[in-house]
Amino acid sequence: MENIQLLLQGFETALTFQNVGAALLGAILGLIVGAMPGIGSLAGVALLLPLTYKFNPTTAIIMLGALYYSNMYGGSFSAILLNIPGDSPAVVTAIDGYPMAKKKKRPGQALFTANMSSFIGGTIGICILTFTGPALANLGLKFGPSEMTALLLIAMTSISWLVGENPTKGVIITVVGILLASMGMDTLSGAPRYDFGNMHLLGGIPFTPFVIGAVGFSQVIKLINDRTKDNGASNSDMKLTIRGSLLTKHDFRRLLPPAIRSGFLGTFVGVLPGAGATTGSFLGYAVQKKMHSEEELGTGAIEGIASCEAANNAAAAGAFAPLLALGIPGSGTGAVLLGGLMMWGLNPGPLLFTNEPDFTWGLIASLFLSNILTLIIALAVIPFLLKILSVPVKYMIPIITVVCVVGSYSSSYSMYGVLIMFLSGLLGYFLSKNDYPTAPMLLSFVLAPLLETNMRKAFIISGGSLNIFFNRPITCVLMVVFFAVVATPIIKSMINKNKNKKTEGTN
Amino acid sequence: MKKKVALVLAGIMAFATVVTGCGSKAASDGTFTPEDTINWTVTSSPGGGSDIYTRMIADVMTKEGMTDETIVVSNKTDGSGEIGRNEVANTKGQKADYTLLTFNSGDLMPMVLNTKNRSANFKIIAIMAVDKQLIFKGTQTPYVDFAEAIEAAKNGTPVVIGGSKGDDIATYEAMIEEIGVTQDQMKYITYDSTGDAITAALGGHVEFVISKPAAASEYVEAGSLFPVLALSTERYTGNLASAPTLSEVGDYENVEVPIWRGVAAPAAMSDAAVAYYTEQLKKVSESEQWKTEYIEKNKLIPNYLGAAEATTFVTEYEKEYMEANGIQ
Amino acid sequence: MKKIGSKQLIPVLMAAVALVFGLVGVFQLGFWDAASGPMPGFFPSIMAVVMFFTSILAFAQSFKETEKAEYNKFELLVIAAGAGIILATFIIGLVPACFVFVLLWLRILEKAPWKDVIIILLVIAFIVIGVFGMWLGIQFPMGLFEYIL
Repeated sequence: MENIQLLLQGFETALTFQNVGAALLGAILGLIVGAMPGIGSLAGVALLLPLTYKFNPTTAIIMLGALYYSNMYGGSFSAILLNIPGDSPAVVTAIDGYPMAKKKKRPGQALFTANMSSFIGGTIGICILTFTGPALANLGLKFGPSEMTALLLIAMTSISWLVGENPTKGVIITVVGILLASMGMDTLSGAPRYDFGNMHLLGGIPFTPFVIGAVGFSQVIKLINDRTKDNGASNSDMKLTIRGSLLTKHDFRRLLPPAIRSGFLGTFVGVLPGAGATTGSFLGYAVQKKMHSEEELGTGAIEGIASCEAANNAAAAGAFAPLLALGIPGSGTGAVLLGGLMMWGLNPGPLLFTNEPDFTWGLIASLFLSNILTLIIALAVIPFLLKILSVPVKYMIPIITVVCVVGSYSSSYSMYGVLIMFLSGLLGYFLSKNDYPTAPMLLSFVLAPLLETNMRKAFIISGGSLNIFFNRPITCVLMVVFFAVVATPIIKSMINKNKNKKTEGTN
Repeated sequence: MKKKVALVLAGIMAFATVVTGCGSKAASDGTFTPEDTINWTVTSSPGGGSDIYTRMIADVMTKEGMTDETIVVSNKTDGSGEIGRNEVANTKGQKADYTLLTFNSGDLMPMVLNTKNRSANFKIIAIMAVDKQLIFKGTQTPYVDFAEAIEAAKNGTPVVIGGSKGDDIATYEAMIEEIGVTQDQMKYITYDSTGDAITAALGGHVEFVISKPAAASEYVEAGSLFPVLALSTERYTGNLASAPTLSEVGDYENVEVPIWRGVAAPAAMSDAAVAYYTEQLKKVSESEQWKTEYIEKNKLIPNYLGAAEATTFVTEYEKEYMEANGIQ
Repeated sequence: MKKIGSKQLIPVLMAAVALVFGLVGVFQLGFWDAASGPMPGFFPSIMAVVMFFTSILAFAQSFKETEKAEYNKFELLVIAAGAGIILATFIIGLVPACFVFVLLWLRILEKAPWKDVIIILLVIAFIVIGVFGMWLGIQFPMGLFEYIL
């Protein structure tokens, strides 16, 4: 009960005219930055940080909170409309968002779904943060190297759900992602790995240009085949107004269960050290793959968009728990916010909740506030965004190409980023031409390094013994789940084979 | 109403800085005053020691009115920071006058070890202070003090220490050599940042964590970390006073690996700009805020060296390090 | 005997990549240390082995696939354009390279009317120079001009 009281006080702090104005401004700027590929929330928050020095800490952090949130919304816009993810969590949004906008001719609904689910996921995340705050952060602390290894093993199995019809190709593409991710500096030994003597490879393959290329640029290459099709005619049956973008009751019913489930899942992932919003959205989507969806995922299903969008916004909220309660940034963006807190003379850390209750509860209240404001603004801009779709494909090709180039340059401040974008575009293009799915590659690229470092840390602690994975309670439970997940399909197929034999026998 | 107006004004100001912020030139009379955003690169994660250090300098420079321009601190951790350092080293043209790099011994060591980049590719602007480390234990650590842990390690129970890259590893290596245990008896887990290592210690996943005072002091204050060993020739003061030095723990020599904290710039930075920044950093080092909120709070040793002395010092340091590691 | 197409080529390339990663992993980076467990090469080399064998499997399977991957010359044109922008950047700088590309593409390939071309160039100028360049403060490479100025 005390928490609610504190939260209400927080709302009192947050709900001043200046603060609401700051949140609005942050939301608008965030949407624009988020929609630009290559500029993730990290860069957005970092760029806006100096601007906020003129405000008091509460106003400033409210503005940044709104910016952080709306960035997540913005990232899904370009993913859905152009198949270029604006930031890394939006990679998954594109899998269903783009087909829904293009093939199903329901771009407005796709955007609406993304925004509504983001809102639901974010709200769940903030609610959990409100009631469990420090306790949640302490739960995250329980996850050491062995626990993380077991959890990531489970996450890795989810890749197999995304693989599609040809498992051999699925395995190859997954390993390609893992090998590409293994290039660069190896933190644990402090030595370079697979850098082949190249300075840039020492830093590994940067994720953002890799994604822009593998998803966005390879898409443009394929898009050229549609260039002669007149887009204008096909667009006339699309409803490009806000009214035409509204979800039906039925749509809404499809959206709700995955959004709520992902909201909880995402919050939990966000709390874990080093996991972040991208892992959250992948996991949310993978879980949905196991659940019932009205249409198959990947063909433009509402469930697909809802599951990942809700998860990544919830993860963003979850990441605030360790940040506020322990002073540990759960993500790069969190880290910049942490820097901001210090600039305003606050000491983030275990004492922040007790020493600065006005500020922390004001911040949590402002997260609620910015979540709502961002939703309103995002919904209001949908009709304008849809105008993009009436641009003929042949004009879109050069525009998207330029945006890919500029975006990948901006994410790394070097032509190396552009080169990576170009090469991974080629890779993505050739692979998809030969029926290799690209999503598993992106997922393993994100998860494998986390899995590897955690596994190796666990082995260093245990001195190379496997015991560490079984004599710690949380790890052991997770390992059992992992083996169950792996074994179930094998046992199932064995039972099926037996059944088949029996039926053949009786025949 | 006033607040609304203020907000609008802030927005216009922001826009104006963006618009006017392009294409200014250094004054022609040989002195330099920045007329553009200063980009400051930090090659380690936010929240860590180097980050706190950089943001503090930037804050002092802004608050004391040394510059009206915004100082943008960006953390470039790609390739363990090598990419960021290489970028700064290769920054050319007018931009070079607006680019700064946080550069300390922990950055120099891996750079020299793993790449062809050398301190000669930079202009060393200043050295601000010298830092040292301590070892802390978490609440779940079974050992009462570090002497007990040494005993355990020698008797075959592995002890796990977490820490960051670079200078933390160098200090750890110097320490176990003095104690006389192997890397298998007293293990070291490298984390991406001190913050991550502290997280692991809070969760009880490593028994001890090696850290400079700055990053750990909040947790000591809150009672979730306890200082158990000062890697210094004398004890610290304040809330870290309870940590003995190695010679107090047992029959060992004190181990101390001082870490200097400096500021570097691209080799292409003009001499006028170097002179300007050296002067500003000197003012920072003399300011009250720097002394109380950084040096005292984080228990560093103030040690300002201007551009010329700093360059000599770093060159010498690099030479010794390369000789010790057999690098050509 | 069917002709060898890109469906066969990809598994062969993948197997080669796997071989390089595996060998470097085991022999240069180290596989397992008796006291502290996995070394830097441990995880990648296991993955490389997995990839090597699945590539062989995929190579065998590829002959069963009846559809051949088709490449359209326009698709190659987009790739060439991408490469062109990167090369041109080193000479005339990133932003001009982008503008020249859009101009040439629209006028020569699409034969678009000048009105459309100008509108598109303005849109791109807004995104690239307005948002990325001015607001986000990104300095784009200037190519050879950097040395002249």
